[in-house]
Amino acid sequence: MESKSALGKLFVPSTLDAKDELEEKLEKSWGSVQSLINGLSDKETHDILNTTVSSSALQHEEVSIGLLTAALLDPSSSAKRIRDLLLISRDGLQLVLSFTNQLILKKFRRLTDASKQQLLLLLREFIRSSINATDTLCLNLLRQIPGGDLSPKNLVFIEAMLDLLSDSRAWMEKQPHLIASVVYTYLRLVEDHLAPQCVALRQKEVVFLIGMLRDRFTDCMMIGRDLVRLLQNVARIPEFDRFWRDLLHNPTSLSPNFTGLLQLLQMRTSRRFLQLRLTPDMEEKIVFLTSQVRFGNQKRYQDWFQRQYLATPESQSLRCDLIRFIVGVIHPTNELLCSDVIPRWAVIGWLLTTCTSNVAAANAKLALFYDWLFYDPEKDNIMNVEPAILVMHHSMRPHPAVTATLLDFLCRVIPNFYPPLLDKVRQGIHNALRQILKKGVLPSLSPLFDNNRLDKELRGMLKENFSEFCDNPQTAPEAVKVLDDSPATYARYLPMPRENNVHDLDAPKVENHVTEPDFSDEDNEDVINGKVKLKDFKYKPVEEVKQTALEGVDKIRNETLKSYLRQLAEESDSCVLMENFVKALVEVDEEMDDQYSPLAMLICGVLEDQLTETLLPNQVNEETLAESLDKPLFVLFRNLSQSSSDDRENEILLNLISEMHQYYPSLGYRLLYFLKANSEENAKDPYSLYKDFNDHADRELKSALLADMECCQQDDQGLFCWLIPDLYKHFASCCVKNAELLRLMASSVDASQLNSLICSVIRGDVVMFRKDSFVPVLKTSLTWETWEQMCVWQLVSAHNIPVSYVAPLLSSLSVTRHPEAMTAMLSLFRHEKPSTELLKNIMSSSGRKGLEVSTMLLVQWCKEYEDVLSQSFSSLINLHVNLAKRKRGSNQTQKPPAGPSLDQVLGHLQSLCSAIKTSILNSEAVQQALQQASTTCSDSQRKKFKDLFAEVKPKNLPKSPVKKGRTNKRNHVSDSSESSSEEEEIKTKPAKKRRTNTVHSDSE
Amino acid sequence: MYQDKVVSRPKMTNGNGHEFMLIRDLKYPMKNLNLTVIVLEVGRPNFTKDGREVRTCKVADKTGCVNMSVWDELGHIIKSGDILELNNAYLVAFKQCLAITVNIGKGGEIHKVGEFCMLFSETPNMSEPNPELPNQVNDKRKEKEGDSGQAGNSGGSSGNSHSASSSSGRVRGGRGGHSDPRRGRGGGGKK
Repeated sequence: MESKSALGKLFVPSTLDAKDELEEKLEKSWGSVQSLINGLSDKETHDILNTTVSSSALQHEEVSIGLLTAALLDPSSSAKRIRDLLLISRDGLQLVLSFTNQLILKKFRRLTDASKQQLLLLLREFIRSSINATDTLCLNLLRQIPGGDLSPKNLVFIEAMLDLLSDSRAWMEKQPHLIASVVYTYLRLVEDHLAPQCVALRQKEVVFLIGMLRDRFTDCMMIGRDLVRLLQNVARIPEFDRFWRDLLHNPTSLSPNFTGLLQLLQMRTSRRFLQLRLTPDMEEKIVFLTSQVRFGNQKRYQDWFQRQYLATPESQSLRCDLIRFIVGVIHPTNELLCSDVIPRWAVIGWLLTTCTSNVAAANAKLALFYDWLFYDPEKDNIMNVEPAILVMHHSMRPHPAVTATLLDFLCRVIPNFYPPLLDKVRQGIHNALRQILKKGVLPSLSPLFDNNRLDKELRGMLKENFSEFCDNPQTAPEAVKVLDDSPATYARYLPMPRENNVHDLDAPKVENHVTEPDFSDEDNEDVINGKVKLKDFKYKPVEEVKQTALEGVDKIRNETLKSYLRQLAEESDSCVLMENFVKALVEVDEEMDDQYSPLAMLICGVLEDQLTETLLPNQVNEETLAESLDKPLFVLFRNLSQSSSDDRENEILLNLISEMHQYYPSLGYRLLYFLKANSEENAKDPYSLYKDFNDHADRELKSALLADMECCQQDDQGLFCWLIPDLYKHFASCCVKNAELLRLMASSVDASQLNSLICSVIRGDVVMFRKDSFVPVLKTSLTWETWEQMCVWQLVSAHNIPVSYVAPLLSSLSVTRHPEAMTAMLSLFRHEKPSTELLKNIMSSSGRKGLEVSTMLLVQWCKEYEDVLSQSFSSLINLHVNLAKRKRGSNQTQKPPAGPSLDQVLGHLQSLCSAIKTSILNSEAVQQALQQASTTCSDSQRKKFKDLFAEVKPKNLPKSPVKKGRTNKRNHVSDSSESSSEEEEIKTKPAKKRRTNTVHSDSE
Repeated sequence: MYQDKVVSRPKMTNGNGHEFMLIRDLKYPMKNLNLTVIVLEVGRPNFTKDGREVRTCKVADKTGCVNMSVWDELGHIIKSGDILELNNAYLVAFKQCLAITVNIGKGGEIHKVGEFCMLFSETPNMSEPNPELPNQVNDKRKEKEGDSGQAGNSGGSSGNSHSASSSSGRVRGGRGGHSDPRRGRGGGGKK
């Protein structure tokens, strides 16, 4: 008990936190040391400790930790205890150090201010005694200082730590990495201390930092480009302004082998430094978020993180640290990239969009793009630029403003970052973009740079700066090469494998940056040439591609084929050549199995422009369609379509086309285009060839269709909409229940395309839903974006179906969470006349959250169909009343009637009456039913619905058995009809149960 | 360079050796429950007639979520995002909604064992109204009548016999069969 209160001085007391092993160990060791040395003189203490320690390793540990605890607990005797520690330790204090590190990493937040000061005292003593590995202790303490935290507690600790470091310069100077870490930490902290209340502390920090930077610049250089980033943020402090001048104009004065700013900017900052500015607690949470939490479930975690670390105005500067950490340290494995865990770009998007200060937002953008500015494919990692490009790509549709400000920033940073290095920055960004295409992070940049969601001015600016990437998808200079090593169709959506992942965080590697002075005249020339090069670049690739494509031509054994391929490479638009090639191919009478893959690759290379161009003519008519098919690629398809299925030619061409599809996934929708454009009116099964192709390529039709259409939607939206109606017609079984396809469509159509789809639905050309597909598909759609949902509902209502098809959906709706679906449902139901059956359905399917939904429907009907409603209500109530009576008579437990319970019926009636002025309660039928109900229902119901029962007119109140009997008889007719329908209902019974079941399976 | 950050799960001192339950498997009227949950929401306080403060919190684990009644000052300390270990918790039904509650000081314990780093699912919500549960408020008087007999019963069946009590424990209609003397207070908390 005593020890517990004593440890209270070590930790801030908490009624909630669980005591863990660490605390138990501290407590126990402290207790046993206390009992050993209590009341002894110094010498006796020393003797007894020494004998105990030498008795066993266990004792050694206990005494060491006990003394450590004592030192942290009691300032008055701590010097003594530390001295004892130094004297008795048999392992150079390594055990104590590792225990102290654990304490800092796990418990720092709970330590009292006094024990934090004791920790610093301990560190001071260890430094003075030159204990090994004390630098780790020092770094762990530095990491405990959160950025963007101006609380007095934090400021006191920062200052105490600074004093300690200032006094320990000699020790630090023996460890260059420590100098770099300390400079990185405090340079970052000064930025926070620009606030007026921190003048004194700031001045101290500035003096310390300038001293370090000027005297030990060679050590500081190892930080790399983030050193410059931090210096930028504090440049307005006069001392740093002077330092900047030397940095820019007199670099050798800082260090003899420092050649200038560019040298620093070209050095990627080691992850060690980026990690340093997150407390272990923040790091643990960010790592958890980016490695465990499923995309879509992140909202609460983000809110919690925001509340804890990013809620105050001064904490906005922390966003840069977080972004740099995510960009530079969190490098997910390929496995993780393929999983449904939240991607990095989404976390970055959150950090950018929730920023509350303009300065911090600008700094955050710079932090995001910092590795782009001087990107060098040799030294830099694609993973450092991937989040920025993906956040722009993925925000384009839902948040175009985010993409726009980032693109705007990217354009403006080129001339504004540092005008003398303008060309270097441009080159760096271009390098990054080329690498993005090369590694297949995005298949093409034109949808990003040339997108009509962006305003004209921005697009102009983008065109000016990034013309190389704007024009069309075929500019990706090495596309074929990439596809070469990753033929899988999804490869182009995924970044390439990474060498690093988050698990090697702790590796004490210090990257050895070889500093090469490359800021020479020669280099400048390159820059000038760079511009010229860029211009040629655009035109070169096509030929290059064909050359590289033809490099593999020697793998082809047949000379005839070889020569045709060579000719095709020269004249890739000659259909005659292709005809001849196909003929020759069919006539080859040697073993071909191993030849298809190289052949396919060669043809893809040769026909590259036909595999990437847009297909659909601007004006669609028979003539233009026929004209568009006049290409060698379609010669392949045509020959295939004309061959009969047991033909050798058919087999050969299918083999070839399947192989080609591996290289160009777009081949799938190109085949669909060909089939639609080529088919004659009223052809019986125009798409049988597509089915054959998928059979042959072992693709499951439904997923193949979805993949092809996804690809099509990305490349060419117009074509997508043109193909869709036919697909629903000819692939009904694949399309009708396919929510993903529907979403793809809903997410990409514009207003006019939607209208034309609706027209074809109304004409009956397209049927997108079947009776049983409405509810599951609509349920899936509830989480989609507003526009997507609106589209879906427009399409639903175009089908002109009875509302009963969609009524079961009500149970899943909530007014607040599904406004789109609610609106649509209300307008669908408006035209429907309510019936008892329908009401039953509605009332029984709604839980508590559904009550408001169904009430809205009732309110709507009440205006027009009050009489129908009152009839329905009364008969539903009577159903229960009669049942209760029968039950009472027979004393048997009977099945409760299917459909709504009495509570549900009365609940709806009550909420209807409170929502709108209605005379429904005054109708005779309802009055009677209520009166009956009031006699049979339970006390709880009576209490719950007392408002309703209060409306029962007093003249009906006197209850005489005769009257009761009469009303019973009067109701008899309707009652029997009800009970028959009730039996029917029983078969299709518990809507409720089924609902909970589905919820169960969902969660698993 | 930095120490490993293996988070060791603290050993709970409550030594009755119960296994940890999952929220999905909760069935009224279980008791002696041990759970690890993450707090999703902390509700506004309500006050009982005798001046005690109670909040309804939403807590979850990877299998589902459920309401928890938190009493007095504990409601000020608990924050959303906290990971709590509950010992000796029990279930109450109020207005046909299931809620979990812990009687601190009477064998029940709540400890914070971490924050943030726990996966959870918000479905199924075990506290959605369930007509099979007794409607507490109105049945109070009936319960009191049956209290003496029932309390002994349920006390005897506590311990390891969850399965037995859950299979027979579905209470139909207003006949609140299983009652706990503490339940009245627990129930008073929900608005």
